[in-house]
Amino acid sequence: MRVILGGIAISVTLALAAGAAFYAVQTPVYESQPLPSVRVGDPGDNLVGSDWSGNPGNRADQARSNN
Amino acid sequence: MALRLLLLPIALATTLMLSPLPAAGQHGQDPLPPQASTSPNGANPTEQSVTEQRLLQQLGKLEGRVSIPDYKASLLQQPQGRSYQTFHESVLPWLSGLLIVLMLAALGIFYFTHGRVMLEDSPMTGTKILRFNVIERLTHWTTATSFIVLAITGLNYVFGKRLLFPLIGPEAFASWTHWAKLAHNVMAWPFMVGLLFMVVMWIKDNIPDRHDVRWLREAGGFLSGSHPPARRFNAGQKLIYWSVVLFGLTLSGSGIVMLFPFWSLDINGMQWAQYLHAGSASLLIAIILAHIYIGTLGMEGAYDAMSTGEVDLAWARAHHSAWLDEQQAAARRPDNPRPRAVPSEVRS
Repeated sequence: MRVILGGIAISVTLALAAGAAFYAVQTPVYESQPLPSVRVGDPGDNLVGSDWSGNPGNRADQARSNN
Repeated sequence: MALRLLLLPIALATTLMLSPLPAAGQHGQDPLPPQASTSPNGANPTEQSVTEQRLLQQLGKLEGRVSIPDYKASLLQQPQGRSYQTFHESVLPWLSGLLIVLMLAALGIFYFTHGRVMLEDSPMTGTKILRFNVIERLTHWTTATSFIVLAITGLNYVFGKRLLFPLIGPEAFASWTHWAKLAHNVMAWPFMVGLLFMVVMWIKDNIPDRHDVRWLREAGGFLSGSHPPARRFNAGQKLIYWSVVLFGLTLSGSGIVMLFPFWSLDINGMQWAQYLHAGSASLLIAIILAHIYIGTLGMEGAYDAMSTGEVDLAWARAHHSAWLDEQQAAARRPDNPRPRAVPSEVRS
């Protein structure tokens, strides 16, 4: 029984680690695919988050070149 | 006089505003409704324009233009999308459901006609031999745990809205599906880790050998009435193993593709990943149901191998006689490097 509980514990631990890693590297779509034609003066927390610098950086150039 | 001058502009404005009303009132009575598509010479300018169906036949897909970075949004229709919808909404639920129900029915019939596979002619000796070490058992249960979660949450994609939604209602179903989707995404990783360990640990013991032909010919002893010899894994277990490897790797590959959508494939590739993922999962779930049955209810002594890691010597003699002979021969060798892993550990 201990080895079964051990297996469950390992799988849950690995799953939580994977979830944490996903959460750390994922970017919301409004950051990963910013619209170059839209400039919101004060977007507010509900759009881009409180840490949004206002500069989409390379991603905007990349998206523009894709179009 | 001043009052008349004041009222004059009001009267004029009222007249101007009300003047179109009679014409508007007659609009519904026009003998010939206005035909926007008819040119002055009577011809329909859109009569010769290409239809949506003809465009679809000619181009294979209907595509427009978008100004957002997600260029995939420009694709309106394509035949593959319709095939995928048919698969997802009708073929997959029926196929998957039939596979699982038929497997459960077959196992039930087998149990009620044959009963549990017992060691009738060779009673348990009380002497144990190590069959699976702790690393192997941890790998098995890690993979098993994640597979069960993946199977339940994966079946929710196919059957949830059909079976669960009517029972628990929209709010509970939405919450459950949200968490099930997250669990499916993260439990995929322990499954893949466990699968890789299994491939490495057990591949050498699952290479087909001469005993397998006889084992299959005698259907594991059901046709001959006696247990055919087998090494560490018999032909039935090898079939399970290779099914897990084949379908597990297919599930992993297609699953990674779907975890990172459109990273490496276009919409058709994503649909193919879904075909492979759902098909492999349905088959593997049915196969694992048989594995769970034979490892617990179906065979006396089988569960001990994966819980304590040890099996009775009589059980090993009955089901894996060639393996037992190898282990005993290895234990007798004077240069045995791992005395605890072979029958020198055998204890009463």
